[in-house]
Amino acid sequence: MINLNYLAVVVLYCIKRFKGERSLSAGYYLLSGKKSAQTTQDAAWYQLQPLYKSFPNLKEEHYFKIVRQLSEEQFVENKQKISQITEEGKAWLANILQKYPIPSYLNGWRFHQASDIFWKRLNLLIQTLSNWAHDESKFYPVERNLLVQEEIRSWLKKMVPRYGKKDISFHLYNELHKLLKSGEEFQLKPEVFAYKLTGYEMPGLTNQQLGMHLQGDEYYYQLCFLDCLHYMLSTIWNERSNYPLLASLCSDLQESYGLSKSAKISYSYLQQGKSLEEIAKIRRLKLNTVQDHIVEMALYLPEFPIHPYVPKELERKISETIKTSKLKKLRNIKELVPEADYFQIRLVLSKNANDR
Amino acid sequence: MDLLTLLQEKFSYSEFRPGQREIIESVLEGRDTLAILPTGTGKSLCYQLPGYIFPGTILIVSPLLSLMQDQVEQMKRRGEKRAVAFNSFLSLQERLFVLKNFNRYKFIYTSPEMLQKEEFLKKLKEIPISLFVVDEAHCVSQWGYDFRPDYLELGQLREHFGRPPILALTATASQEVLADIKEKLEMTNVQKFLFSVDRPNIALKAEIFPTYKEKAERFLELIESLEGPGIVYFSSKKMADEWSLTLREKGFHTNSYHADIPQENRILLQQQFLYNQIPLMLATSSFGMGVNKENVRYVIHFHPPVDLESYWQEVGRAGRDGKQSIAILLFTDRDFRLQNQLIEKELPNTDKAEIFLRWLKNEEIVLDEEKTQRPPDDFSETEWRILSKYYRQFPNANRFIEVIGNFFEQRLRLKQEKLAIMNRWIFHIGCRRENLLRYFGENKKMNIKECCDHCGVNMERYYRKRKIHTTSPSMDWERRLMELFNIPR
Repeated sequence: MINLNYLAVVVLYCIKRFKGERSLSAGYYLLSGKKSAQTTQDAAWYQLQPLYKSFPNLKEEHYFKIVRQLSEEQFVENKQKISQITEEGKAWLANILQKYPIPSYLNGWRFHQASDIFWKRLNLLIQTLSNWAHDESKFYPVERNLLVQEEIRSWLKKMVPRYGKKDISFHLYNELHKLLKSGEEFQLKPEVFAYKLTGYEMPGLTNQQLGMHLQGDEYYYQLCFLDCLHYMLSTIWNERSNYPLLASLCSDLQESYGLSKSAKISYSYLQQGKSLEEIAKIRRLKLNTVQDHIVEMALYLPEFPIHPYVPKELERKISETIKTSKLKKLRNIKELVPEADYFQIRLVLSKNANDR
Repeated sequence: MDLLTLLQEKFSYSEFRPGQREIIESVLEGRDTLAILPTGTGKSLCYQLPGYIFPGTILIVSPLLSLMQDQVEQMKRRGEKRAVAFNSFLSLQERLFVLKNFNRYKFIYTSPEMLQKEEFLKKLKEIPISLFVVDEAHCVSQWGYDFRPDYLELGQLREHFGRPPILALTATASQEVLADIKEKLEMTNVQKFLFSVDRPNIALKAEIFPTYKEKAERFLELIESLEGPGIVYFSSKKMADEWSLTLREKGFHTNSYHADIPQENRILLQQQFLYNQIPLMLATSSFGMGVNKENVRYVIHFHPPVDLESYWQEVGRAGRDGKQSIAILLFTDRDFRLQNQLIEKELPNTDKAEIFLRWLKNEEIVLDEEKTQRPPDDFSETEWRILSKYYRQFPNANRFIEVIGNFFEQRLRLKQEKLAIMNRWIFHIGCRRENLLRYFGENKKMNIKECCDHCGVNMERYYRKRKIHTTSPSMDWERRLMELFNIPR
């Protein structure tokens, strides 16, 4: 019996996607949600955005322990600091993913910011309403963040007079039921969401406890849980009028498009017609840093034109090379297209990832 | 309004517990007050109630971050919304929120580290503070089992707050520690209140095993037969985790609880314990302080603590409802080594001091009082706190290493003495309670029927009457949702 958990499955999946073109830590940064240009690029180039920040509490040493276990099972081969999945690893991974696929609505990249706050609010609100529904006004809040407590307090102040104390419970119940029911046909696991909620004398379960009651382990249920939240958010945002109460809980939240703060500033200079060199000078940044920002823009802004920096003909050539060689490692691409510089290759890679 | 009416109105109690009224009256007279009260006997009431009489704010300093968090939630639960815990658990946004709305708070809990932060201190100086509470006051004493150098600055800090009266609270009462508290906190004209730390409804037992295997077998036997709810204390997180797996496989509803478990899960586990959904908690010492569970029937120490103070505090979580309960400590030879490792691990030594210096240099980091810097992985929370505290005071590298070296030596010696006393108690022949009370400076006065294994304990009393059968909940999300919202079927 192979004693590996679902976190190992996810790590192996990342290693497979990275094809030995990224350092071992790349997987750790991705899963724990590091905010860096490199990590966000990795997520996009290797189509790992769904898993971005899916394990925010993951410790580095834990990650490397998993990697070691994978090597011991010979699922991963290490050559000169580079890890690649083996044939055995591929077979094992395929087998597990068939039984326990990575949930399909999961999209950490798009939702990680919004879903965290959304969950905290919803959890505290439902706990409050559940206690009210059982005629209890005193309870220990499951969510201790002062700002979330404050938000729910003022939300209730606004909504209770509009709906009535009793009816608001009923309306929210109906919206939730409708929403979760609609997800069942997409293999959503509403029980994961429902049993993590806390109510009147009904504390929610931890992921580990879910794993004991259902089949699977805590890491698998972490993903299923995020899957629920991401499904809920995207559905609510698409059909606001169907879920007025839930929509009002997340109307101020946004998808994370990913431009870092600094890149946003560079973007606004760019729109004023400044050149990269000028921006670097004004902002006292290295030219490299501003180029990083441009790569971010190519990655996340739809329709962002890269032609000012890569001639059309060169772009075509780089694209072709990537397609035929299936390489993503900059150095390898550069060997095949020596006339391009690294900045240009990164831009094309990012643009391609964005277009997908 | 008289105190009793206030007690009823704000706390829904009909009478004071022993000592509370005297302490409150002394505080209300504006006197520096030193109170020695065992844990779990309503310490917090002694400063919360005066808050409804004093015009100004009550400032409470405590080193126990999760405990203050729990207490604030308890206050909110009874309807007191003007309480806040200002500590490093708060996010930056939360901190800004608190500072912006500073005037809305009447009860401010904080940690000694936070009192170093300029912005916070500035806000505190602007508001009237009526009472300065120092919880776990023994932390000020280098003779105490939990010395925290940060505490030494509290006496001076009081001057900045317009010199309100101090209420110092502790559960340990050795003479040197008490003298140290008075001196270091610069207390004057002190009223002292000393109450027995005895918990007569808890029977005491220690069992010694030649091998680990026998200890483990006995442990299982106890878990199977004792009437819960119960808490088992481990000194290693890993062991707590492992036993929790083993016991779950045997069908027990149990969970481990320690500092590595994310906060959101810790809140859930506490609640599950409170509502008896997990009747057995496998914990490290970080569990139990904020849990107001009255009906804990037993506490087992799978590993022995390193001093009697910690032991007694953990035992004190049993039987708060006054009903008969039992504390059982399990010991085997290899625990000696474990205890010694624990003591040394807690204290920063000169090696650590050097790593610390190198780290600062490599990372080009300036220790910043405004920001809370997370300790890097190589350092424990305690080590980091002490190292950065002394580094600020002694930035010269050689001097710094010397200071840490002295600190380590001195603390280690003291800890070893405390450990020796702990272990003498485990191997003590004679009444355990008497021995323990004498250590805390008391005589055993009462004749207690269920006293200790020496005086005789009737184990039958603590056994389960019925067999428990465990059922797994069926995982029907629609039903769960209906139950949450109390929707009739």
